[in-house]
Amino acid sequence: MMMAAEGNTRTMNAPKKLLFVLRQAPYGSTLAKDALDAILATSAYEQDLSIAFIDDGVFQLINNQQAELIDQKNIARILSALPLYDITQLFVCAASLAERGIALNAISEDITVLEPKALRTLLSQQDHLLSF
Amino acid sequence: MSAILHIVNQSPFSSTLLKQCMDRFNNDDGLILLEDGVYGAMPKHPYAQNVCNIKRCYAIKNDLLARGISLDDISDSIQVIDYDEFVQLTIEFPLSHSWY
Repeated sequence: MMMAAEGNTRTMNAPKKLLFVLRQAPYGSTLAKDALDAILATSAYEQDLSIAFIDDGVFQLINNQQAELIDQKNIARILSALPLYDITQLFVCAASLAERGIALNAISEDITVLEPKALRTLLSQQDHLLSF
Repeated sequence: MSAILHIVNQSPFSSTLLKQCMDRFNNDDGLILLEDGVYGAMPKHPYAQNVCNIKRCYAIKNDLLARGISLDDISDSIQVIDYDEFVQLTIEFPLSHSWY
């Protein structure tokens, strides 16, 4: 165990490219909230952090969520606060939005919309993928 | 660009998970079918052709056999592997991504 820790010392200093892949709708499970907790915790470690919303994950982005009606915290509101934590690399899958009939003006404008090819490139350029 | 090892654990007959994975698949990526995902090794499901076109596609032997899927009945392009080989693949590929 000690050897492994020492062996990693050098590479740990360079920021890693981490992509959180969010694929679940906001309130059906705790995964969306768990992902946000993990993202905020990770942001303390000064890594190259970005987030991709794909498949049902795009439902997390819809404006005008009224989560208090089901006693939940508003996921979209927490997401809009991410820039305060220097998390600004947010991406959304264009195809996933289109499949669900979600218009671009229904989601936050601070998010980069990626066509499928660009999304595949984004995935393959990371050091680590974290799936939620 | 790093190759990604995609890991799918749900049946293509009851979930669109395999399709969602295929939609984000790069040419040099790999696919591992495990748990209910091994039903994706069967030749007749909506994305069977996509699976056949993958150069490096693997299915976990014990998961196939546990479900009564004969190794003779799965698509030729799919390589049957054991757990040790699964671990080896996760080491070999620079990136892994679990779909669930």
